[in-house]
Amino acid sequence: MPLRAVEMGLSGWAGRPRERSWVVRPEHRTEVAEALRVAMARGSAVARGRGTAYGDVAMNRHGGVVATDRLRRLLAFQSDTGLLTCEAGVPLRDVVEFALPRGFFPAVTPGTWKATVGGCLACDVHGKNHHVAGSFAQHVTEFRLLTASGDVVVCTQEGTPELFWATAGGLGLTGVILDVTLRLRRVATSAVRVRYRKLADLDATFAALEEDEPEPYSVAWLDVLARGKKLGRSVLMLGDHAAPGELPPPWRSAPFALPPTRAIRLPFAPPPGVLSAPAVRLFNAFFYRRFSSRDEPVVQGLRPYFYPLEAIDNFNRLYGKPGFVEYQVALPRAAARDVFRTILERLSARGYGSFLAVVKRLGAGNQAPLSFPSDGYTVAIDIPARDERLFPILSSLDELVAMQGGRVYLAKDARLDARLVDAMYPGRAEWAALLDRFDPERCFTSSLSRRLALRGH
Amino acid sequence: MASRAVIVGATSAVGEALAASYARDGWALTVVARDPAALASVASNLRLRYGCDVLELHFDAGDPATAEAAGRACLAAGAPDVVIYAVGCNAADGAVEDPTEIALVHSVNFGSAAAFTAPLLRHLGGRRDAALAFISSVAGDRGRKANFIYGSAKAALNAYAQGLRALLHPAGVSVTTVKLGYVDSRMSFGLAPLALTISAERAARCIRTAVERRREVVYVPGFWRAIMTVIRAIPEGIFKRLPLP
Repeated sequence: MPLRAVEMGLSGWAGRPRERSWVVRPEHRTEVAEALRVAMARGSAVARGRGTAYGDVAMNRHGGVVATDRLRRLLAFQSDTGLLTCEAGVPLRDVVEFALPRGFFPAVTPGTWKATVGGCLACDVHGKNHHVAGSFAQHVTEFRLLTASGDVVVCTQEGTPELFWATAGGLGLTGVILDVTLRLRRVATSAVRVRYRKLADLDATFAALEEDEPEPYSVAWLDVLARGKKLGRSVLMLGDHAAPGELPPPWRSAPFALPPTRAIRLPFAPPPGVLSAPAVRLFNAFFYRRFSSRDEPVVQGLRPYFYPLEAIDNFNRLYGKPGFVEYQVALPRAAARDVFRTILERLSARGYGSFLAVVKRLGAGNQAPLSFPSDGYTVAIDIPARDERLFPILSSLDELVAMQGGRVYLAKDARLDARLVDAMYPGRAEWAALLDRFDPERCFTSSLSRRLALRGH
Repeated sequence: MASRAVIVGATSAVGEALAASYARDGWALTVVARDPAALASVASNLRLRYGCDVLELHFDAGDPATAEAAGRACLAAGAPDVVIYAVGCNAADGAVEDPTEIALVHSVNFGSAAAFTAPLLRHLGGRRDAALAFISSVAGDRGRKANFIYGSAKAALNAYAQGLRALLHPAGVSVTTVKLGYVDSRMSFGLAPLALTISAERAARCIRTAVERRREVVYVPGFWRAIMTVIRAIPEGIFKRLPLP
């Protein structure tokens, strides 16, 4: 039975845009080459995992899409080194559930465990520990890549540095990742010890983020709608994997137990008023008050700490049909505070509220030209896309960010202007030239790569 | 010693989900499929996730001459407790006029099933809970003009399983015929109406329950029994004129 290309409407996690593509779904790695040929017959192709990137990075309007969600097999594990090899479509949840009972955890994890390891590599995602651990690709020792020529290249940091770092953060444009070997980190329990610090304004937030805390994980939740003196007030959440002795007694006997959780599924989108500015303001005020500023740590399961949004299986549905925009930018240390202040002021002045806005410190970037994290700070804000007036505001913020040496996170983007890309990612042209060597016909393109002319005009 | 299940067609979505279902409960497995590379990935995944004993066996159901040897090879690890034949392939377009394709589809869906099972028969009897299951299709219930090459092979499989059920009944071996509707698999991807399509995992759960309850003929999911009862009840004179695919 030959593989079929099936026309489907696809969208990213944020629900916009929605576009038709031709999807081919291989069941095994042995079929990916055939799948790629079938997809390419539609003009071009890009791989797509489980669709948790926010924007149009894993979409290809009217073109081919190779869906990797059936490539979900674990292939090898070394219990002494913590090296795990798995197929590209394995979601991080499977990695966590496999690794924890064996005393391991992903060295870097984004805030969702639905994302696939292939997608995490292609977007070079980061986690709450970027300032100490770097990004996802830095913990990948090897992967296999199906390139446009149909060859499978074994990529390692030492052996094939060019293709390795072009693929890390390369947004799926170098080929289809078939399998990935990750180096996991050791943990002693499935619990996290979390310390909450309430910070009264943006200056306090930045001062706290600058401190070298002992915990490797740190992220500040921001109250976007707080104005005036309270602008930028936040709760800093500092976490570390707990030691067995820190667990409450019943848990101590099974230190790697993951409390079973049943995620809620929203059967329909809530009425629009639920996300109005007053409602969000109320929620945020409640959320802010919930935390006391005592330095006393709390021991909790790692799921609520690392993956709080997974409590609602389809939380993107909260925003209803218009979807939302996740605006995430990184800025160099010197400029970050002032630019963040401007972002918050402009959004809160227009009443664009958000349940979810976080700030975190980033460590040094890596050699991947399109990798997002770079030395400084990042802020990420979910904004309901309830009307079109939001977009000019964001475009003007993009200009400001670019001017200050910052960048927009492409894996979350669906609206950036192509003119700003080279300022944000200065290595883009060289990266594109390398891709043209492996893929002279430019078979690998996506809606995002065309919108931003990532591979050139 | 752990009970052993033989899953023939373990690289198909339903076969792999069935294997995982048994592995999760601590069974030993013999997984059988055509493509050694795909089978090795399936087997590694089962070993890593469930820590179970997995034997791999290569067998191309399109080559019925090798089926008996493959069936015999399954006995190397001792007589299995459960054997599920989950191999299937749809016919290509225009198969009606293509004798090679007809032979292939009939071999994969029926001929090889019977030949593979032949050497196992005398080893299954006398064991408690020994069970055989054949994954058939609702397409075997009535020949429709779009897919009766496939349907006729599955109809043959149904009659074979029916006879075998009577033959093995005195020996205490149950034989289950599973008439599958649409499953989200390679075969149906993009073709089947989503509302009627179930996941491979759900299909596997239903199949396993049917095998454990020693059911004779089951529809998976169950609503197909009603649909096929209606379809079978239509008189031939009307049926041949219907614009059914």
